[in-house]
Amino acid sequence: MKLEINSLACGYEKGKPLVRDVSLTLVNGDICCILGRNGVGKSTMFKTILGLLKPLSGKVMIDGEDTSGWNPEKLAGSVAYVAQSHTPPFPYLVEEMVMMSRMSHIGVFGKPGKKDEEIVDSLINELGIDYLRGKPYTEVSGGERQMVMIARALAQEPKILVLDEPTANLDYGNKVVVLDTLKSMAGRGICTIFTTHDPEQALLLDAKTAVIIPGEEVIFGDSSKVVTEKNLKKAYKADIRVVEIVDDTGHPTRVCIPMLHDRDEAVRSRRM
Amino acid sequence: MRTDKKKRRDADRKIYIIFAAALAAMFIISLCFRTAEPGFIPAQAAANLWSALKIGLAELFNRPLALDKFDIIEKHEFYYESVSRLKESLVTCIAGMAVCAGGAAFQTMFRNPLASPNILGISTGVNLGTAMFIMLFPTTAMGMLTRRYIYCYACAAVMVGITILSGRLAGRRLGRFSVQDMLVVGAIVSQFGNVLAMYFQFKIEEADSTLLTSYQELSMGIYVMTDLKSILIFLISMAASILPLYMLRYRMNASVLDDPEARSMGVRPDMLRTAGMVCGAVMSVTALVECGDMGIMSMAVPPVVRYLMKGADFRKVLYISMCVGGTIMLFARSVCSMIYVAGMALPINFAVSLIVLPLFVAALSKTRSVYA
Amino acid sequence: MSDSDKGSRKIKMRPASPGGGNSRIRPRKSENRQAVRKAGREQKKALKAAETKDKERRRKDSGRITMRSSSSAADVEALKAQKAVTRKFKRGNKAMVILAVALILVFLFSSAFFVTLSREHFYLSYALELSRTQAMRFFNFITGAGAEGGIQFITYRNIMIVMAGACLAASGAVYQGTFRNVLASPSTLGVMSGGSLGNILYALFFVTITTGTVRSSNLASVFEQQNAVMRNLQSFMVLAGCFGAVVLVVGITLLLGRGRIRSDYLILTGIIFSSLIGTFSSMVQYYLIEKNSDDPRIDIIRNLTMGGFVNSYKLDQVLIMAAFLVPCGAILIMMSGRLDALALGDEQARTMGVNVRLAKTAAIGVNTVMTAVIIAFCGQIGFIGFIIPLAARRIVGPGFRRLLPASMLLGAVVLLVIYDAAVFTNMTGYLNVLTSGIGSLVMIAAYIKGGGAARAD
Repeated sequence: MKLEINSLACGYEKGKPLVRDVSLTLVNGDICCILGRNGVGKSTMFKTILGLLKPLSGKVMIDGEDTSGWNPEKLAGSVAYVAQSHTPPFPYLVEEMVMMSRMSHIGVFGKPGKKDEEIVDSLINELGIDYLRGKPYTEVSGGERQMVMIARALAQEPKILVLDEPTANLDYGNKVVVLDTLKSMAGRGICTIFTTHDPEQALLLDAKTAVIIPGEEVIFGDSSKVVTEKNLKKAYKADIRVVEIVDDTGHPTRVCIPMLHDRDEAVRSRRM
Repeated sequence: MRTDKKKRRDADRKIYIIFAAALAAMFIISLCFRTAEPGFIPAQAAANLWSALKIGLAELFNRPLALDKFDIIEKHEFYYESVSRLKESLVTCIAGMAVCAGGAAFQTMFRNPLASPNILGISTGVNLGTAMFIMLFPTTAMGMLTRRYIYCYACAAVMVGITILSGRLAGRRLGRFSVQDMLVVGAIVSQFGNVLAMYFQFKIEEADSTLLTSYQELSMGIYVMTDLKSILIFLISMAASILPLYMLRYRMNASVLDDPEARSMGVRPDMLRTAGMVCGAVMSVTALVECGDMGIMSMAVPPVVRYLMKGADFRKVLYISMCVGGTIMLFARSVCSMIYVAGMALPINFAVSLIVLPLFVAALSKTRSVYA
Repeated sequence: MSDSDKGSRKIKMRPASPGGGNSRIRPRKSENRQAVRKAGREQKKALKAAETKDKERRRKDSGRITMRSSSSAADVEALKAQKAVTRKFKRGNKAMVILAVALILVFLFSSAFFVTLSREHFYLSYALELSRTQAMRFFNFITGAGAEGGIQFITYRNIMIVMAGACLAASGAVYQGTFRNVLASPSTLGVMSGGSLGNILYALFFVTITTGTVRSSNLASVFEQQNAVMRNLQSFMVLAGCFGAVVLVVGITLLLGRGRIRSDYLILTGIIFSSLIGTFSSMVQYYLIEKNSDDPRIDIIRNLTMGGFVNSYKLDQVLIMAAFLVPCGAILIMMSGRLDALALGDEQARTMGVNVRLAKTAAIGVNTVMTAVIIAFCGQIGFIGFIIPLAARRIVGPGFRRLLPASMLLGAVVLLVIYDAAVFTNMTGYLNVLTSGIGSLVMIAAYIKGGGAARAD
């Protein structure tokens, strides 16, 4: 499975692209992290990949086919989406939520059968959320909800998994759980794309990273090459240090450390 | 875990059976107990109905039994009464089921536990249509059924159109379709429509007070049309609207998710919503025209059902709401036909509202989860 | 900062020991220290320069109140915003003056000119002739000349319309502020329906039909057919119905929201309650008509539901109405500050020292009394309390100190205008229909224009 994005320009109105000239290629098992400030066009790019928006120029191709001609049913066979956070208005059970995405394989007038139930069962066990069976989705903690949503996306049997800020609003422990799960997606052969506000996550997962900077070209490449102090300063307008730490076994890890300044002083010095 | 699942499925099946049995029991009760006179026993009712069936089939196939028709009828007491009761019960039951199904569908589609087809102004439209129809055709009001249907549909369509259009226009600023916009506009339109209907009512009364009686009978559900033509129209419209909803019953669950999520699952939420709204609207208008205004049943029954069951799968909610709706309507009809106030039977919609309201309040107040 | 084009620095990991001795990332000492020191020196210089500048400015500006001239873009923005707000409020003041003048003009105009046109004589010359005669009578009345006794009834009627419009609008504004929901108003909360329920119960249980009673077409003559005790009883029951409705609706909302008043549940309960009462009322009328189509009780019920004013009010009726409405209005205006605090939210208001429970109860109580009085005298008039506060808020802003008087003025003007329209189209007995019709159209249009629910606060 190969996802190719060639010179894609995304936006809502013709002639006013929010994101210009994106080109990247991802294969099975890749993890791709998209960084950028708020409002810079991350969700616009998502929506274009998911087929919710037409690309202003350029192409999105899955296995060599241009996806702009695909209808939602066909796209659902390849791409699954996990939204940021979601409180449904009714107390659906956890397994009912996971089962919902089997609609992509059931057909318009059908209902889930034995095979669907087996797939859902095995997924719930694999992701370690079987202790949540029978509980209403609305009574479950934020991290568990995110896991249920990921399970739901996986039940679609997609080739590409797209997540919108999967670790936002989660406490630290739950963040780690989600990052672990994302890492294991690579082992399943699924290509994962996610956005985040924390550049360190791109480094931790050793993901291919795309940094969206308004007004400039999108920077894409390995995390070690893309997540640099210069790029971070351009993207977030803050001084962030990238430091590589080598532990006793010789395994290197990179971390980001922001440099804090006195804000009052900065404002005053600007005033002059 | 396997046995757990089996246990749950058996429990589900038991619940379905219980509710369906309650509906059937209520149906039989409503066939037997209808007026203040002591109702006849089920066996007699069954015998009456059996002979009615035989006669009907014979007439259909032109068998010689038809010639003995009147002898058979004389042998059974209350023959016509049974048949008309059967027709009334059938219509009432289906109307109740349809109204609750529409309410459940709207609530799922609009992700709001307080939605119902009335938010689109449907009940107001039907009332207005009836009033206008009576004002324009005073002498033949009760007879011209199809025209009445047309008027009511037209008025309801106008109301719905205004509500949806205004909701869309208002939401266009924000670039999305907001339920709250439609709710607000629907409330405004409904209130205005109600006042207008009352005005028409008074004008009718000034003109001729017997007309007002017919209007009120039609709109309050005291009198159900049971001639063959109206029943045919009723059954056909119901089948045309309930069937698509029934077939889409699993897919409806997807409307609970946000639109991008639903689309990424291969579901088209806007088409789902349109189909649901059209079916729900047609169902409600047909039921309202036939049986009069049913009050808050469409809004109140599905939350009660959801409170009583585990999970919120639309299939379950649909089945059980329909059973509960039919049961309540049949119960109301039998009870109301037995209570005489000032020499006349009680109209059922008030009774239905009174029955449903405390259940609704109890269910909503005890709900644990957070509603959006 | 030091070399940023290299990706990173390599450091050997040391576990952080608790308390002191964290693994510090030590860059190459010499280079960075110099940079840090240099930066520090520059900062100190900058600070000193800023201080001296400030001192100089203060010396220059001492005694003068001026804005900072060396302002950055942020200051200019703040200034502009301030000026815009003061401009808006100045415009609000002007608007109130315009409204007051408009009220007086419309009042005089409708007393003088608007006459009822019957259907046969609905053409212009007739209307002009009638208006001229009426204007002459009005002029004589004002100047004291002539003995025409007929005109003052119209003036009394107009006074009642003004009071009704003002108080309905004011109570709508107060409900909207207290419950913090745009849709709150006396009609949507079920208060008016409660009043009509009280009226129905009164008609059913307390009105005796004698052979002498005749069906009448307006509220005032029905009024006159009953003796004083009956009249007071009717007003009392209407009042009781209104209070009962408020208690019931608020109680059920508390039950539904489990101790808290959720505004959407409140509106929902109000609407359900109104529709239930409406059904009950049609049922009662159905039975009454079935039994005896000349029953005068039907009129008692109908007139209250449809709302209207008549020409033949007497001075004592006007005085009774004023005796209730004027003090209530005054109380509300005095409570403006507290209402402002309430509109911000319960917790906020409590921290500002407002006794939330007392204020809310007082506001709702006063409102209910006002609504009950208006219903008893004039019947149900919906939508005024709904729209007028919204329009007034657009003109003068949300502060209650201006909003209450502005909505009172606007309400009076609008109701007068609507009543004049009703006079022309001969629908004076069905005011509720007109106000609802015009009201809903305006409401929907404003809602669409305003961008829907997002702006509805």
